[in-house]
Amino acid sequence: MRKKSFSILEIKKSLKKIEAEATKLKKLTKGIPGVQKNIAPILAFIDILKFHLGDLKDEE
Amino acid sequence: MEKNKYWNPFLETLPRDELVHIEIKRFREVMAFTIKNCPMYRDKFKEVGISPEEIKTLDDIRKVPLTDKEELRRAQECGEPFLYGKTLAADLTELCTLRQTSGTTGRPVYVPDTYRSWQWRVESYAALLYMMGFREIDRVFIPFAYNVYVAFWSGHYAAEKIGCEVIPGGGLDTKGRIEKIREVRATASFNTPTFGLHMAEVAQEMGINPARDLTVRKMVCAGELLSEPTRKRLEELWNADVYNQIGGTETCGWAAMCTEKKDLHVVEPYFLVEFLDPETLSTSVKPGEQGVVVITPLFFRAFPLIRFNTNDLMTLAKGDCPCGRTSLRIEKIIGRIDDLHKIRGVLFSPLSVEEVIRGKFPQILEYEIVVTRPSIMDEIMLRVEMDPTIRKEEFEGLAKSLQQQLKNVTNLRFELQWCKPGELPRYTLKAKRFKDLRS
Repeated sequence: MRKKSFSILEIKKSLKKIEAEATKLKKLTKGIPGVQKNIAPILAFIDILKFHLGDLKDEE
Repeated sequence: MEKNKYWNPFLETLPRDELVHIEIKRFREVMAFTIKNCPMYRDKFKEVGISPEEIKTLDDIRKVPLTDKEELRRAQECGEPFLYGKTLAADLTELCTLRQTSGTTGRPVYVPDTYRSWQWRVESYAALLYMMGFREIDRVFIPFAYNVYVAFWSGHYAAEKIGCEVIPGGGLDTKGRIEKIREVRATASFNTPTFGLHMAEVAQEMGINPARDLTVRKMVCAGELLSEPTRKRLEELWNADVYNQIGGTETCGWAAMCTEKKDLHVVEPYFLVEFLDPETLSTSVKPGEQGVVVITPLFFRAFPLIRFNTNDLMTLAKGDCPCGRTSLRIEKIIGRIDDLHKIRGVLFSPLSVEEVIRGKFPQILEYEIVVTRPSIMDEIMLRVEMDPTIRKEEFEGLAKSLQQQLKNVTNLRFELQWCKPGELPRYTLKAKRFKDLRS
């Protein structure tokens, strides 16, 4: 397996923050379809980002 | 060596035990999700009395019942909502796409997706394309009207995701498509094996040599079984790297060749793929053996599938791939179990004829196998369309050699019938070169 040149822990923290903010934004903007419909893709891609890095163990 | 060879260098080179660990965890998640959200699976698992908490190893997964196409059809026919019935695991208001199977073996299966779920299909296909060497620099021509079939839609969006320029080639005839490839200097293409051969034939009629005059240097072939001789023939005709890729409407693309062009890699851990003993369907086969492929997409949620039996028979590859990926690999695709036919008591796969013809008889442009039973015995006829430049005097020797080689491979005797140039049908998507007229 490749050596990681970054901190998985930091990445996981960052992803968690983005997800929390996007979820919050979704709740705050109920009733504005133009905003809601643009948050949905963000959440979909956060899902995929979590897949790419979420299961890796930090070597540090 | 290329700097970014992998779509995800960590996941693709994980030791197998770690990869399997991730897949078992994701299997539990998708199973729990279906119990909560998908009536078909909720009923099924309740009846069997199995829960996700019991799944800790691959052996535990074998206790979970298989899903087959007929079951999906039945679940869609009964109850609400219209079209999807008990297979739907999302709110109708969240759906954004509808694709379907071709329906050649019965009522089509309708496959819905939410935006989120669709992105997973695109994502896993992007990983496949990246493995086949597709990059930002590629200009990809897709010579089909995609219609309600998923294959080229996921390919289209996946190529866009990688950063390729994508040119949809629907609404043009074959000549128009060849002209468009030349006009835009497309560097890559998606194809079916049959249409790839047909396009090369038409290009030559137009005075265009695809290998010399066109710029397509990468081609993905899907939609039909691609024999190794046909793949090599396509490579010669197009002067391109031709990659075999497999998938289905229900599962999406789930395996493809890497740039080594030897075996097909399962795109793990997007999918959990099992190769099961064809007799029992209860134990895994060993590398080098043939198994029935059973697939669980681990991230599709709108139309989830747990242990979907593809009915495809494939040989699991041995050893490692020089590309460094640790995913399971397929050495050979034998075919769909339903496509194996008993003729005079012998199990026959039409792919064996394809391998002989495309591998050893480049003079044969098109062919068709017709099986009849005029009295007690089955008769098998091979209708053959030759390259018009071949002289009639050469036919006899060629017929003898062809019959002998077919006999060696299939253990069956074929009658031959010569057809006029252009007499046999040309296909674009699913070729129907085997006709069983036995009543």
